[in-house]
Amino acid sequence: MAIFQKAYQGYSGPLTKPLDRTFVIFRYALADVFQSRLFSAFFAVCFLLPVILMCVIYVFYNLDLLVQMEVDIEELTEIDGGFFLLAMQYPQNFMLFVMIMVIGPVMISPDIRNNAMPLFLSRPVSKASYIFGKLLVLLFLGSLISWVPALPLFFWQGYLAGDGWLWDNLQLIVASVATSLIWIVSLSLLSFAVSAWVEWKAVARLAFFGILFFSSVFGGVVIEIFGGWGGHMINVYAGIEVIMRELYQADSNMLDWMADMQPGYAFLQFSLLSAISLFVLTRRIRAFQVVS
Amino acid sequence: MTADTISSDSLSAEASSEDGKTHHSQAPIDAPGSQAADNKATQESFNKSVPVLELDRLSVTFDRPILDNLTAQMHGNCIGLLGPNGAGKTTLLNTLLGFNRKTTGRASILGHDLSKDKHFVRGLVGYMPERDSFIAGMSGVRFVRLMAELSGLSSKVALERAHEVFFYVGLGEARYRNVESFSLGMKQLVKLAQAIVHGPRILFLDEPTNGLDPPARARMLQLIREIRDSGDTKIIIASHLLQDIEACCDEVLVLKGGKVAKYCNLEEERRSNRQFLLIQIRGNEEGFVAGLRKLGCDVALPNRRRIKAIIPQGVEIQHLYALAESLSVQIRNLDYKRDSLEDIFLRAMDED
Repeated sequence: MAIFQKAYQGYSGPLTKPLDRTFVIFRYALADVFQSRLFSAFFAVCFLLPVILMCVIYVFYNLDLLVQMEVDIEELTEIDGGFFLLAMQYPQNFMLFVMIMVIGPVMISPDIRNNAMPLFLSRPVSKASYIFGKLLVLLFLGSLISWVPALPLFFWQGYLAGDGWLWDNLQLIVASVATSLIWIVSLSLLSFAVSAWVEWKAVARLAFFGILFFSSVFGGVVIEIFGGWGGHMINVYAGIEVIMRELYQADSNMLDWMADMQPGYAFLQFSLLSAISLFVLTRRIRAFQVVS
Repeated sequence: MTADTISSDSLSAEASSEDGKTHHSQAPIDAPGSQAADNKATQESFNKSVPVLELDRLSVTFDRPILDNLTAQMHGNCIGLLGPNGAGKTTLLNTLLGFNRKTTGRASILGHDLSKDKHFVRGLVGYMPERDSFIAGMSGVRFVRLMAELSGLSSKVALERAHEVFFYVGLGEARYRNVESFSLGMKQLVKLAQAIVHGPRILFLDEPTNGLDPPARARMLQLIREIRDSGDTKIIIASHLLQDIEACCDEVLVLKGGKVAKYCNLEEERRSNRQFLLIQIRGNEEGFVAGLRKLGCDVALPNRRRIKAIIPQGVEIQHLYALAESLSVQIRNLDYKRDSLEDIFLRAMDED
């Protein structure tokens, strides 16, 4: 119908499926994220690491090149779970943290601040689908810069190493996917909860960083005073280190500096963090404010 | 095209995209069978005399009772929720939208019980909130398109209707501007646009003329009347402005302190309280009344020397003067009167 026609008539055409509404939220939020050139540049930079590691693995298996570079082959360490944990997963976790700190607070706080929630929730959109739609953006982008580029790296290493390396190290794929998803989901929910509470995105970013920073400092102080591993339960970074070590099954000496705690407690820590964040989110995401 | 309506049922025309490019819309997407059946059921209930709004001892309590035992059944095309500030109008709207949990009682919209079909009812509703509501950093057309897609329209149809609705509310030229940069009046119109873009079966308007200057207010009321007269959409307006309600509504629920103070069918009131003449005379009152009745007037005598007369078609004022002259009756005063909504509202507020 042409736009010059100016009389009102209802709509009785077909409607999309309820699940599609979640993807509508995802699609629009994703497009909004890439309106920032700075973020687009950061996102592109995140792909440099897998490319560099791919070159490193190639050089590792290219004896001629190693000889030309005068590298002592005896000194080279084996490429195993510890290598992927330290060289791939650990830096990726940092990039995920930066990405979530930058775009997490932009997802929900402007909607709350501008009173957009009644517009969403007066439609056939539930709080759960709203949160999930926004979370999908971070899951999608986070996956693209973490476990998705890790997969070809594993296959590349498996191809060059031969001798059934890939088959023997299949757990690395699970470790990469699971670690990344746990980190993305828990940090995303935390950033949503903080931004829903604070409402101003710059302050929310600061608060998100502050919570993680002070949790690690406070956790360290608790360990210094009381000893044991109790302080690690407060420190989110310690939790993800424990999960990484467990999933990657890495027991290299190079990882001794990482936090030591029962993996079950680390999983409990992230479950609690996500549950509390979800609770705060569902309390803050409401269609109206009650004025007492 | 020459048709004079906005409708997405006809999908052959061009619409501009968000970035100004044009494209052709295609055939509508297939609806799931159950949904189509629901739509049909709603259409049938819409056409029949199913109450638009039915409240059965509905109560809502927060830290104190906000709505108390509301019972009403309303069938109008445009229903007004009238009351002073704090009467519970917005709470009632929020409850009908499923934002509030009812404490007791039942409410249904177009025959659908809210406690059972909340999600389905939301698919029928368009809502214009009282406060400024928008999504930051979006152009007007993108914002409205998003709202249409969230209501279940396919992406292409949503884009088409977003453009149409911007022209319909009179913001066609401003549709690529960021919503945040709009004036208060424009924001009100954008709120209306997002509420009607998906062609809802029922439209909730919460104080739609808030903050509007007189021309903008007149424009808003005109739009509401047009939507009402289209017959496609029932409207529920919450307002404390009597003139707005009187200008648009055919049924009114007056709320006071969370209770129903008065139910008023304005259409019936208008019919029963047709404009009447209040005549003050001196002289042969009985003869004059008899003469009026002979002329075909409905006559009542509310108090001494004052005659309330409804004049039928074809009887002019000069006929009354002629009658008075023939009976040597002095007409001392003659005035057109009608019970206004203000009279009804003030009486409801006075009643305990």
